[in-house]
Amino acid sequence: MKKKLISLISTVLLVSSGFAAWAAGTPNSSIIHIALTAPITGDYAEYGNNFKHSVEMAIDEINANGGVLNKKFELSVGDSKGDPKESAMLAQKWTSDSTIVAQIGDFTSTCCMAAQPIYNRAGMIQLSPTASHTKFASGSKWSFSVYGSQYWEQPVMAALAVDKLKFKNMALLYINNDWGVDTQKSFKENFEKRGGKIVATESYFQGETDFNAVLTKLKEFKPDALFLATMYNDGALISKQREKMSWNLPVIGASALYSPQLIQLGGTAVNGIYSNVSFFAKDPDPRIQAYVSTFEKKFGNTPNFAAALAYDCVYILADAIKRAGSVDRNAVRDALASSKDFKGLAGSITFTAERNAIKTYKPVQVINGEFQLVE
Amino acid sequence: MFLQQLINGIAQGSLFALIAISFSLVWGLLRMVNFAMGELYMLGAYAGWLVVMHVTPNLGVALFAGFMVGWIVGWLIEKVAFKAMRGVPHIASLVCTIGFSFFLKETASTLFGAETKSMPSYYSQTAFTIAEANISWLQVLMVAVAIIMMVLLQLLFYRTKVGLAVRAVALDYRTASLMGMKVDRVTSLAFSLSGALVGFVGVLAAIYYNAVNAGMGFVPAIKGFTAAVFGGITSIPGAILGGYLLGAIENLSVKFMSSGYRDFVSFLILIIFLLFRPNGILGKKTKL
Amino acid sequence: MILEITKLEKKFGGLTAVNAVDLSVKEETIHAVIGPNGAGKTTFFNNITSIIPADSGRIIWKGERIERLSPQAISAKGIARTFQNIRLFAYMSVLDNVITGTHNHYKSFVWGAISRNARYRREEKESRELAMELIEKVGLADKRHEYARNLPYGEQRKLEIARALASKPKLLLLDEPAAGMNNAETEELDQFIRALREDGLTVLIIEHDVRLIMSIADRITVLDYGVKIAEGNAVEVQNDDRVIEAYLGKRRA
Repeated sequence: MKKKLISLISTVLLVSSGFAAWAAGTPNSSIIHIALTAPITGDYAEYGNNFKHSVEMAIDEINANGGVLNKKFELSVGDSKGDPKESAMLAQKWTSDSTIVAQIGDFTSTCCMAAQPIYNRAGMIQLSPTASHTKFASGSKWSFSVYGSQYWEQPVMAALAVDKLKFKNMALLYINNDWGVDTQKSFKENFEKRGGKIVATESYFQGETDFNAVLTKLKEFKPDALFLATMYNDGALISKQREKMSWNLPVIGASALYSPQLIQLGGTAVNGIYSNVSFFAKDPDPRIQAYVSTFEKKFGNTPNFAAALAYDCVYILADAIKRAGSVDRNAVRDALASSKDFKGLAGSITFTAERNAIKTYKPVQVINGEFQLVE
Repeated sequence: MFLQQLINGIAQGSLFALIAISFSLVWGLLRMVNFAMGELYMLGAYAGWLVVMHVTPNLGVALFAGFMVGWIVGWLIEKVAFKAMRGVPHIASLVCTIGFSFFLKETASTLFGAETKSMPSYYSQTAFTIAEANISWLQVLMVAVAIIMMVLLQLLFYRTKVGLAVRAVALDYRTASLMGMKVDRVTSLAFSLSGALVGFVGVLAAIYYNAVNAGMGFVPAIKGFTAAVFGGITSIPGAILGGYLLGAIENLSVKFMSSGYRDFVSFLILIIFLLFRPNGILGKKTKL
Repeated sequence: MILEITKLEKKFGGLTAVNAVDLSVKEETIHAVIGPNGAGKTTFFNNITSIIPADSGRIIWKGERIERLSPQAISAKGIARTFQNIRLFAYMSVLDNVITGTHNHYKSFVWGAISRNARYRREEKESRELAMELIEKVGLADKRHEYARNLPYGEQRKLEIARALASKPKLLLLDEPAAGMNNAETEELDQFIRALREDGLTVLIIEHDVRLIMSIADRITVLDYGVKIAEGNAVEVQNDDRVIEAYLGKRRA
């Protein structure tokens, strides 16, 4: 509680100080002002707070090491609550502030795509850590995703399903929004390309809590395994209700399932679930270990993939500004677009012509209540 | 699997029916809708969760906690949104309950955090298996508890003077007040009771779905309201019937078409139905 | 005098429905208020029972001012009434309707219903017995489980009286109790109201049936356009010029 209050107050102070600079109308040449849009409250608050903590941490580090081009980073944070309308409103706010160089965020593809036309019109970088919809980054020359699209994620999961786990008939369950539809479609294509067969597909809308009906229906098709294109909270709920129906079958899912919350909420019901990650907190890589332990010390929880991606966003942006040699929005955008083999915590980043990061993913599985890398 | 879906529908219908009764009660007495019903449900669920996690794993205590929290907050809403606003246009009270809805939701998400909490399972073992359809003890318990609640309510309304007073006030509060009935007290009582009922349902739902979060009340409240209108909001038996029918329709519709259309189907049926019978299945103009 | 009303006044916009009316009701009498349609009789009753409070004037009940009390409080003081346009609980049984009238006398409420303690059980029993007794008295015993709305008009009137009596009032206000009754029923009502007076009740009655009024009323007050134009016993009122004019005069022909 107390910690939350402190971070809330500091956010308010930060935002208002950003306002003060804007209101004074004197762009400070010694700072690089960037904005963060994240779901600090609402259903995706866990991700949003991971964003915020990680971005603040990265900025503190860069500033402590002398900044970029002899300028210090300064951050304004806006809470989109996971609501596309709020996200678009924040885009209006950021783009009307001439001191802001670039924007990092938002969390969901839906929010990012709702705000996209605004950034596009104003000519401001919209760098999303997690937007994974295949049409997001390609939609505007100002939009970038470091997440990498489903296009890179699902081939890994389909290969796992067919080659390693030998599934032939699978059922799909997805959340009916931009992200869910896209994820499900991408998995289906890759799975069928490898000779698998999708025997049933079902969906639900955000806010649903009763999955008994859907699961009962899917069960009738007797699939070998179930693919979940859902967030971790729904994933846990679905697993618990599935366990109660005593329907035992292997489950694999999108990277959105990869969260300690999945295990906390799902308990034994999520044992054996496969997911995938670009960032794995227990990765022995010393850079990752250093990041994880600092984050844990500062914020009391282990950073998730969203945190690592947001962290990478700050660094790749700093790198682009350094290479551009100025904070001119156009110059920074061009430099960012030409990023190549940038070594992030969540894999290396090279942007395609459509500004999607090409990444590699590692499959993980919940074993005895813990995520472990699949050999 | 038709049978399994029907069983799921009846279990879910029990939740809808109890929520529908709450809407019916408030409507009967005040000709009003309490838009904070979903949040009373959510608070009940949190109360049950707190008890189970921190006090005792006893399910009865958890259900009682949900009931009491619903009662107290329901009482408070009636005092602020209805009693204090008597004499101003009805719409002000409606808006006030919407305000409560947001306020309670935000309060819960600040107090308990925005993330979903896990509720342990109870009685999740299979009780019976009929033609491949599994019925869990929890489902049996939910239906039984819902029926017991409904019977108790029926007894309260038709076998006690308190119930008589509630019915009299609902039928004609002016005449009731001439009979010496304390209309305010009766209204407050019935409102609290409706809050307590949804608080109670919140705990049941938390156990059934194993999850508690600040936004959990929205969809069930809409469904409960729908069930009440469907069955006839002026009639408690109607509300019960509406709840079970809506549960069955929703779950069975999944069997015949994609589950993404399930809300679409149930609301379409509702709209068509109300075009032909605007007072609902059992609704009359004034009967509670 | 059990009830003393002075200078009672009620205006609706420009219309003065009750205009400076004085009225004194003696204990254990039947006092009638008559007058042509629109004379303000029902408004006068509504003022007394505070359903529509008067604008000014005093109402003194057993030496205590009651014109600012709520309808519940007035009911608790021992004043009960029936309505010109019957106001029964339509979707409630005959028995339940009468039980609602007993509400005043009993203390236990929520806690009693939950605990079902001795007092609560005694009170429930008493109110049931009283209700049954009254239902029998008005002759509706075999219809006690019917919905009130299913009774014929005359019986609904009887039921309303039974319900009013269930509160054990000292003063009973009857607003056109004979309306919709046939001759036999009116004759019964005549006897019934007299019996009430013998039991110690005071009755204030509005009625159009002149024969009934002349038969039972100890004292008659005549209102016209909200103004009291005459008062006296049956013979005095019948011979009053202003009363004759009000009922038969050109303006109403």
